[in-house]
Amino acid sequence: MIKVQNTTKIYPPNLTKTTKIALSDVSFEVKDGEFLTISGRSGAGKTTILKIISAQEKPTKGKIFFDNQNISQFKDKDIHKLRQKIGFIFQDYKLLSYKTVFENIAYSLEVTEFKDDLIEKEVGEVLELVGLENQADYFPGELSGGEKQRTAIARALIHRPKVILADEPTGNLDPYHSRDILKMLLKINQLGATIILATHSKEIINSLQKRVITLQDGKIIKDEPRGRFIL
Amino acid sequence: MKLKTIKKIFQSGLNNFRRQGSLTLATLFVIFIAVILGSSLFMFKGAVSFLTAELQEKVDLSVFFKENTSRSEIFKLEQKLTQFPEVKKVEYISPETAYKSFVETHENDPYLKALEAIEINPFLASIHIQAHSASQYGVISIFLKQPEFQDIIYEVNDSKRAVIIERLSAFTSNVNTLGIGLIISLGLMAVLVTFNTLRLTIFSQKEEIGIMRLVGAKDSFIQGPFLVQGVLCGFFAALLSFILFYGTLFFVRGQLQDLFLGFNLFEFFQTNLLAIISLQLTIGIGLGLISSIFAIRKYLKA
Repeated sequence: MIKVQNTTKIYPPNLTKTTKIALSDVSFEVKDGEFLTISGRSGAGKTTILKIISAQEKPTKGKIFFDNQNISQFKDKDIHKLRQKIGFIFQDYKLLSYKTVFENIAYSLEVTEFKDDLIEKEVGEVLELVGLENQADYFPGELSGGEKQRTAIARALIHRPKVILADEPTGNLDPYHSRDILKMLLKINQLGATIILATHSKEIINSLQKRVITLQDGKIIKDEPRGRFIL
Repeated sequence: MKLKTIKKIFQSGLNNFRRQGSLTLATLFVIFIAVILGSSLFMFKGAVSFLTAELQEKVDLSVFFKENTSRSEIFKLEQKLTQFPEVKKVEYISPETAYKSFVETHENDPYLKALEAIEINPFLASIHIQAHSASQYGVISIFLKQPEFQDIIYEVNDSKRAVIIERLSAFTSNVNTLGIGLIISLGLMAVLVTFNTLRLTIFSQKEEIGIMRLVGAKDSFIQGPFLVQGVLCGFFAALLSFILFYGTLFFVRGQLQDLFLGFNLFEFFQTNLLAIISLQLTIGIGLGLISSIFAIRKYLKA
């Protein structure tokens, strides 16, 4: 489903930084319904991989295939079609503060021109799935960290994406809420979605017992089917 | 795009316009200045055209004929002149008419008494020629000074006003060129300033734009509200400048009429209301739209 082929990403120098090699000749494949964890220290290239898969960044070299389509050749105006197949979960939730939980989730469907009654139904279902049916009218400022992340997960799920990209989704959460979010990701995976989780949390990686790709300085140093935390 | 989506885009643009008070005000002000300048130039052009036309009406070229010239010879010349494309009107003034006109206009003049005393009509027959524009008097004058007319023509009186008008025409043309140049430079400046103020607005919503992109929003959905915001800024700038123009011209119409030698700017404004409103809306909305397109472009890339 996703194929990253000999991909290199070099950030050009700017006023404060010199050239940075974020990824160096990285290749791997992710099958449909797989749960992949990308591990590594800060700056190892985890987020860059997620950005390249979602076409937020263009690779300096190499090819990225999503459903057999080379997305590195996508035109800017066509990227939204790819994004509609992907759900994003971030460490800082990226919720709109002036929209309620319901509206934040519904927003994903509104921008893709869904009908109002369908939005109502779909959001209701996904709120139930993440256990936020009683917080639908709350604003993000009125929620706990775990609830915010569950809202973000609900938003990522609402358009039934094939792939969920989660970038340090438990980074701002306590262990209890982290486990909660992890359980939710596993549940989503069981429902058929491919999950790519970027994290440097030893506890999460070791508890998952799923495939782990470990990155160091932009290079893959280990790719194990039932990996453990090594860095 | 569905009607519901268009409504949402419009609503979102309206919200942006209301929420970002100071930035909206700054953008609106810059566009307002540009609209004012554009409209002023239009009004100025109108005033200059009026003055030129007024003066042009008062100018003519007089040809005085020698005493023995017959009416038929003068008529032949008149016929020739009327065939010229430059000639607008030719009017024959007989010595009698000239005398009568002099009497009427110099009723209490001592010269009139002297004239009456000699019992002779000293006035010569003449024709008064009006050209379509001041610059055409030169050609007509050259034609009349040809040797073939020397036997009948006593004097060709080149009006000094023609020179003034020619200068005024040249001035108007220069003002037009300068004005267009000024409008283009000011328009560019306005685009730059509007672009930057709108860019600030867009920057303040960078995160929202990022989220929109990540959830798969089309470019038109992201761009739409900002275009609506730009259009609203332009529309209100045009509306404000219209109110300002209307109010100012209405309240000081008397003073302005004196200042512009009888040209009624308020009446001109009313007569050209549709053209002025269209001009103001075109400048205002055009600037707002162009600036928003340029300002949002950066954020539509991946």
